[in-house]
Amino acid sequence: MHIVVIGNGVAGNSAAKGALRNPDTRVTLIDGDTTPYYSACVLPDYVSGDIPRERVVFEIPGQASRRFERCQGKRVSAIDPLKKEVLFTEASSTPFDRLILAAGSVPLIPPVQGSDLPGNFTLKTLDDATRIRQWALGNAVVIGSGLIGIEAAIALRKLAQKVTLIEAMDRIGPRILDPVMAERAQQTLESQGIDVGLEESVVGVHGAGKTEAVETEKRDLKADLVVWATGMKPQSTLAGDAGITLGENDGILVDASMQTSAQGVYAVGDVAEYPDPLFSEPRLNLFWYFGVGQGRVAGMNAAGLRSEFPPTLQMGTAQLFDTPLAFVGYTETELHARGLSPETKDAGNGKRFFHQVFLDGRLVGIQMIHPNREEILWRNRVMNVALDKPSKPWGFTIPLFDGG
Amino acid sequence: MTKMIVTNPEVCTGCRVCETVCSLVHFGECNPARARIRVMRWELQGIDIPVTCLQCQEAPCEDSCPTHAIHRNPETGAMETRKELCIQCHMCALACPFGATLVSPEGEVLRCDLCGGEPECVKLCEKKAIQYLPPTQLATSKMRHAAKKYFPDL
Repeated sequence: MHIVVIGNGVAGNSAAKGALRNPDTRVTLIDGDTTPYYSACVLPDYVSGDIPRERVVFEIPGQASRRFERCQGKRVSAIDPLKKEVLFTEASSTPFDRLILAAGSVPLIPPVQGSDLPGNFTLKTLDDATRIRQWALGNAVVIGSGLIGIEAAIALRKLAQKVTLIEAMDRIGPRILDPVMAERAQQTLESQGIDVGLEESVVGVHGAGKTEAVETEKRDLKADLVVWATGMKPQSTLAGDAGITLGENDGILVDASMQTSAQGVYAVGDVAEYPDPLFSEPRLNLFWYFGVGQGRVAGMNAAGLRSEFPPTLQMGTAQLFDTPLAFVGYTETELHARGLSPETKDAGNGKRFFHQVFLDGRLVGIQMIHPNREEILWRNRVMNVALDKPSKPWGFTIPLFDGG
Repeated sequence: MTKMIVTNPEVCTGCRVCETVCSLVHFGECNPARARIRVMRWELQGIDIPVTCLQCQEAPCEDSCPTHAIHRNPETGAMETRKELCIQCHMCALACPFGATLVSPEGEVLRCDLCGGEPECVKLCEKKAIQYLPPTQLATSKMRHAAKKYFPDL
């Protein structure tokens, strides 16, 4: 069986690995770029110079196989799920038995005047990171304070003279942090010299030949370098053109086996819209481990080995200088926006802080800052029990104690 | 199949020798904060349960690692972390459904490596609350354990 994978990110490579579990399959991985497989998560560390390029780029061990072919520098122009064919821009094509779409996502830059001047960057690919490193740094402005924006600002703090983080909402990390937590994270950033501007929208980027200033609704900022971290858009046009059903967020709708509306076509990683565990509503999950898990499941299903992707919560960690931050599950704000009435419980003092979100008495989200990492992990243990959805079942049963 | 660590909480006395020897073997000091096995204690009920890595076949820690630093040792079956690749983001610790991936006070990831196939905690467990068994034998001992419930006096 011939399985074609489009995309050389973590989801694509994981899908290839999963498909190769069946010894009767042949896998071709197609990539429009020529950069090797690398980890996008460590790019901020690469920008700051903490880790060398060799540690960003890697091969999945065990993928060197005669049945596996990596086909780089070939752009796909269309897919045909009925004829089972992938068409390339250079007027050639390749047939497939099963197709796995893992094209990932691209950064979204709002149509602001001057955002195409040299000195405007995004931080998504290895090339982006290399370009940021090479650009002369003086004053850096990071626009958008999601996880990428925060990490980019921290990385640039080591290189630039002055770093400003701009957010249009009323707090940093609006999709991952609640106000009480965001305030603490902001204090940490500010104590390390990162200037944070809230409720500021960028009006334009100015400069002659290269960026020199960023104009917001409130002020003008000197800027030799602008990093846009204003969100991502899944690359789902190929699937949309082929008539595959897309979701509200432009992602490709998939079922538990990661199959799309077209038979034999799967979608994984950033392009897939997968139901979340609590509400079963399709949502985009732009996280590394979703790519790995969904990739493996799709690869195995494509190869005829049955597998399902379990309901999985969003979670993440970030190192805010010396303060570890971690978040799991839902934010209070998101639940409020859905018309629910979550309860919260805050605990902590000084350097440690927990923000817990409960829904109908169940712990459904937690954000934490804690210098003692042990404590953070213990909280996650509680969380898994509370959600009653550990991602793996126990290997054996622990005898129940009745106190007798 | 490789052997696996099996715990039997019913006979665990909570002496924590396993924690002590684990840190001693790996770090040369008796410091439970650096142990890869921990005994969870319920003080009022008098219950102790040893918890350690189960070496999942499809391991969430491996899936969550953004640098592919976690891999399975083909000889022992243990999930091992390649230190030179680890960036200490601790996503593996967050992903572990059992909380069995731990972090040292310095931020180093601690996960049971089965001591290269000869777990020291198993050797020193006086009550045999921790055992190192092949999965086939595990099924038998579990069946035996369950069958015993018919005759509590046995």
